[in-house]
Amino acid sequence: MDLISGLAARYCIRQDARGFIELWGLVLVLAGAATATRATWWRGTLACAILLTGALAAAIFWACAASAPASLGTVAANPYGRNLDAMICVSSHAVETIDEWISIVAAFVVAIGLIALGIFRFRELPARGFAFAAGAVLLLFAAANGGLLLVGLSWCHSSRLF
Amino acid sequence: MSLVATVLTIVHDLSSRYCPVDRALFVERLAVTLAAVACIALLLSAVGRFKRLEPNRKQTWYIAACAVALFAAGSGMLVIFGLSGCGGATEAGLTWDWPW
Repeated sequence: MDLISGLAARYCIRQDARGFIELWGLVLVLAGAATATRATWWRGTLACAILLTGALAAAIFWACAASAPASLGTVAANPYGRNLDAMICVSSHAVETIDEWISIVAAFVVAIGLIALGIFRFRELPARGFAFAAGAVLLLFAAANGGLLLVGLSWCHSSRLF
Repeated sequence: MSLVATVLTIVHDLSSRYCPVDRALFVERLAVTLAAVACIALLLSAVGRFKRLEPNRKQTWYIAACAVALFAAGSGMLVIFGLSGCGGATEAGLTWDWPW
């Protein structure tokens, strides 16, 4: 790791420290829930969420660390061409993206849990109906947030609007 | 601007932005916060150890204690790694005040 890459990595951690710490907390909560449960399907769901969260953290960190020197002035040494805009988009609103991701994962996990409770645990109609309705609302919330996240990133990536 | 001057400016920017104004105070706050989180982890494991619970319930308390301890360790390492890149003067308006 050369001097600038090393400094850029530390710079990105400082810039988005809150977001990375929140993601670490989310990973631990999901891993704890996966360890505590016995249901294989539930473990699989949580493992997927952990993998996606890790991938998001890695993508944000890489985009920031790789684009930091170029975005600060060494444009002549930019090896990423047009992708540099996209990388700056991913890293410049990292904490907001991370907060949005946490709300998506939390809503999705709670929704799946509620639906599972409705199917396997609740026997009475009102309780079951409430679990399904709340699960559906949370799934809609997660989907809407996911859409907003993608629209925000696309908006920023668009060279016309950037 | 020559290449060397550009590189020096970038090195300066990368090592002065988002740095604490007072490093000693920052580290002190970090240590106090991590110690508080470590105490919570100890408390959770003590509940799991001394409270009369079913094995499953005990395991849940231990998992929570482990998660909290790992959170403290991971966050601490992350912050110290970031802090290790600071050198020289801080840049006004782009400082890092613990915890956020």
